[in-house]
Amino acid sequence: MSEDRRTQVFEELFATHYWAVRGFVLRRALSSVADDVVAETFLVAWRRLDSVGDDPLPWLMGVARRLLANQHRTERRRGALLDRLASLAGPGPSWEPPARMSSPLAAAMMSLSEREREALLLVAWEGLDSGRAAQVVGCSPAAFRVRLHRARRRVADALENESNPSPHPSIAEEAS
Amino acid sequence: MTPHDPVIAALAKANPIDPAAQPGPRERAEADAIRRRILSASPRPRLRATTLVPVLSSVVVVAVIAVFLGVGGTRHRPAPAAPGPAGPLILQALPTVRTTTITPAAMARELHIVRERLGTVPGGPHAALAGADRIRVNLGRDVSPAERERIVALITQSAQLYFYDWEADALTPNGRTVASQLVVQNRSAMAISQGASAGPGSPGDGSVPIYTAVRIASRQPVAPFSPTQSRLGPQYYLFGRPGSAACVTAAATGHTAATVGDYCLLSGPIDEPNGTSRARAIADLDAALPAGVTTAQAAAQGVVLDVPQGTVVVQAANPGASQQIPYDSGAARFYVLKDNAALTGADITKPTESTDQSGAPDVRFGFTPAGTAKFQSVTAQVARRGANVSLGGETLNQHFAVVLGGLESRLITVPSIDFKQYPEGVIQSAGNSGADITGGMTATSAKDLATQLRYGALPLDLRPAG
Repeated sequence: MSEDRRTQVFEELFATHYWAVRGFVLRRALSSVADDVVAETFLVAWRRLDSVGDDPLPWLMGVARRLLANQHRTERRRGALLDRLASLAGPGPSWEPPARMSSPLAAAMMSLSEREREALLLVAWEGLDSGRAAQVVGCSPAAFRVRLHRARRRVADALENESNPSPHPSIAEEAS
Repeated sequence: MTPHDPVIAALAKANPIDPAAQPGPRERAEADAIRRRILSASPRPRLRATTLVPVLSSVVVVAVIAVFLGVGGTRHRPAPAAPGPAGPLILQALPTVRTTTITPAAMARELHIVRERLGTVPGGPHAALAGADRIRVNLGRDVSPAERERIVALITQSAQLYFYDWEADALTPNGRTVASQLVVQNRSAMAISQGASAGPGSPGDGSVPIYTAVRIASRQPVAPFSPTQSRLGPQYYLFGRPGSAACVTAAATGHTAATVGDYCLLSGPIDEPNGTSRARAIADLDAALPAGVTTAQAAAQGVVLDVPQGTVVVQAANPGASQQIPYDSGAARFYVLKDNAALTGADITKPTESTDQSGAPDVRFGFTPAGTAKFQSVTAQVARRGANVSLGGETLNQHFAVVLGGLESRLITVPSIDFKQYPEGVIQSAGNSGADITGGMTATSAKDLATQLRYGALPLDLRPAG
């Protein structure tokens, strides 16, 4: 690929996907970190333009996801003392629900595993279908669909239980 | 699953960044600055990292860009040499179809097994009960997110190993067992029993596409509950009719490989508890349709089949370590078995990855006292049948099958028992204890299988708590 063509391809890639990738990162990181991660993501794309493929968005999100994981690890190592204190205080949430999310939905999402939660959010927030979301997380579409289905069902069941709580069992029922 | 799904819709409503929001002048300026900085950078990485795995190469790029961007924000520095402790891992125990109540005894057994499994993890992690239905694991050191994820998988994966009497349990397309048709040398029965060039249990002669296998299985009667069953309740599948728009759409989106002239798997398998209505099962199948396939299409062009309790559909064994065939591939082939396992994962001990005499990866394990007796019993039964059906100088050795259970069950291997060498079955002794299983495994898949087997006997499901 010539230098001009390479620049043209990158410009198109950047113009088409920058805001989607930025949104993806901002939903998962503080804004002070997000700009660096987005920039790093597109730098990786610039240097590996030949391997981006025909559907760049899942590829870019996959790169951003790995950079966020590295970022998280670096921060965690830096804050070893804080981690030690946090571990003494008990487990903390690994994911913060957004303020606009209702309490029952937030509680249901918090009860999911990280993988299940990620599956739902890739579909609901990023608008990806199962095939593209599977590319982001690096699993087969079939495995992703099963993961998504189970996550959705767990959340739906939790919300249903929230709206229709089962009556407390009587002592007689418990004894039986 | 569509945006109209209530869960997806509720989540979309809570999206913290509105996808439709227009960026302001400051965001646009920042984007333009990033674009210009990248275009001014060398298109070649400063360090050659072509042989590194993607995650590592990303680390390299992170380090490089932190230097050349030279702007505010987070800086990436080398990690401290001495790793610190990690936050604890909290695991939630959940009932299973077999252990329907979380009792102190079940939790004690669960904890014991978790501790055994953690023994393979460096750093001295420690597990303890944390309430009536939780287990807390202190990893004792800092781990990367990837390693943490691997440890969680190590603890929570629940695949089970099942041993079947191959010919007694495998069914031919007429729904009868192979063993019952060997004397008359039924062609399908002989193909399943003796295999062709690739051996029994392979994706060769005797195996069938998934739709055919599920159709055969769906015609079997419901069997009452038995501890020898690998699964409980009906298992549902949704297929698209040959050449239907649903199959074309599914194939076009890469979800399901198209098989010319055959039904395509659109959704499933999904296990449902006994008593689940068919409508609920179909709704669950519809929820996992490939993108672009609508429920209306599935209803008009689809066929829902259910495999009753007492029968299992298993994928054929991989022909070799370098020939792993995905479950939903058009090339995948299947067998149907009566779900009457002679041994389960609970009967084996200490599975470890190893290598056989030729250096090929395998998995070795021992048997519990009960497992020892069962293994001898099933191999003796297999040997006796081999002697009975080998007539007129023809040797028809019989087999047992090793199946990795789970939603997508798969044959691992179908070894034969030489009835002349082991007329009384394979007897375990001090010098001959346990067994090796081989069959198209890589070193990694052998290690994974050993890990999965170790978790087979967990009485309760475990998953990370938020």
